[in-house]
Amino acid sequence: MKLQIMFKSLFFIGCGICFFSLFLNFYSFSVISQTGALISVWEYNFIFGWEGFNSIYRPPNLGLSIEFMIFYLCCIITAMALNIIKNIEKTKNLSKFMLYAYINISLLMLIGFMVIIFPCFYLLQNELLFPAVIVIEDLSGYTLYYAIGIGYYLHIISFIMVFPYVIFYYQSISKFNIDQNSFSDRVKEILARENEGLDIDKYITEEEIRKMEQETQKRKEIYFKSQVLREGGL
Amino acid sequence: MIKIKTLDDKLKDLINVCKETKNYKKLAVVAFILLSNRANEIGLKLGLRTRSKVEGETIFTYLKNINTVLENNFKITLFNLSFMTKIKKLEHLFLKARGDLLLSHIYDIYNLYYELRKIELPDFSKSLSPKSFHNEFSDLSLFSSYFSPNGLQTENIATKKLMVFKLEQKEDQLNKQLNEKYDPTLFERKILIHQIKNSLSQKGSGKIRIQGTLRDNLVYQRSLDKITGYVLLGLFTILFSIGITILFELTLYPSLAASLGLLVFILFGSAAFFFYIYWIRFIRGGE
Repeated sequence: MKLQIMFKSLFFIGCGICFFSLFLNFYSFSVISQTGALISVWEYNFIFGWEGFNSIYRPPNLGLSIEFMIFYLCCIITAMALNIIKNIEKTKNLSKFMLYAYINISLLMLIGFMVIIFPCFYLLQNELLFPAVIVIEDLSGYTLYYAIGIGYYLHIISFIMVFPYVIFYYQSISKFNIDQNSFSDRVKEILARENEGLDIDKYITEEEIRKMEQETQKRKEIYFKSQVLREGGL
Repeated sequence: MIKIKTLDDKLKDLINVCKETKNYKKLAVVAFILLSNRANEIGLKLGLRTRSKVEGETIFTYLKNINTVLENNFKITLFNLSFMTKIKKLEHLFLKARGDLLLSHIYDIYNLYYELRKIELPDFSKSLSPKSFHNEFSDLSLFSSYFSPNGLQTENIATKKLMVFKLEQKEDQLNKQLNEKYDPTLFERKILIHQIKNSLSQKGSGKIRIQGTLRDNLVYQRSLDKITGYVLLGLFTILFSIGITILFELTLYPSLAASLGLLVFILFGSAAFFFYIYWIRFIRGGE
């Protein structure tokens, strides 16, 4: 159980790291002259885009929309909130949790997207090298520094932290199936519905009343008989 | 539901009072209700439907149906011939005389009811688990790996056939024992064999059915160990994926091969290392 709590905590820490890393520097590009003077620095952040100086060297916009980032942030918050509110271990209806498992998997996929797809289809397509490359321009002699930032490293860490819990969560839901009612409960339920009601107390009472009536009748007969005999002078 | 002891006490009182009032019809009606209810209980516990009173199904027909189902599936006769003959005769008399039976007949009906009550039924709700296999069939140790904690794994057809053969042999032995004398424990083992045989003929993609919550389940508790394996799998996934990304970069910029080659090697090497540990510890070790 401690293991589960530990990995759940790791999941939350991973989500937290992922959330905050979106506000940090994800990629940087800098130009340094032969004399060592800083010509240009540009840093990329998912929320604020490119920030830096010397617009001659400004890299092109990477094309990740703000709507996508809002969706990403919502997904992180939703996954965290659902894992706080809904406890998979205490539920008696596992099938309901499949949706939450898919939300968790979506989050994992989004982190994976940032770590793998983003460099391939956004950085490299804009001639921004990956992960850390130094290029010396032949003509100007300037040194170009291409490097991923702290945000990217934190995304890798958050992927490693989130991955075990998300996979285990999904695997638990797909592997187990909780019976809503136990077999004996179901049998009892059907028997209560299908079996003929048997009120033995009622039958006993009915018979006792009948017995009393019979006794009264008998007493009456005896009384009548004795009265007839007495009146008849016998 | 009425507790058995209370029911017996009440029945005793009813019999006494009915004997005094000489109302045997009530005793007969109560006896048949009890018989019918018990028959329903047996049927349900064996996973069958209840008696269809609307269609006029008699208790005898219903019990006969139970017998047929058990004979077809497990080669077991739950209600013997003499029992069935008696119940057929008494039910016929009861229906014909509209409940007006002799005291001796009523005595026989109650005897039948108590015979029905004596029948102990196995727990059909028990699901097939590796543990139950080991407990019941420890002698078939050859196949113990098949029922490993990771569930039904192998897809080897020859092994399956051999297992089915062994199980059938075991089943025949149980049939002989059961035909000599009905024993609920033996019957339960027979059901278990039946379940195993069924699981062998299926693809094995079924879920593990549990009762209560995951927290209280032992199989779930054991599966928690796997979560550490997922850390290794996560490390493998991320390192391998970054390696692939850099390889993709190298196809676009081959001039970077000299500087990034070592990094790719380290990434793939680490990924392979983590996967190897995962394989050794959680896949090969689990078999």
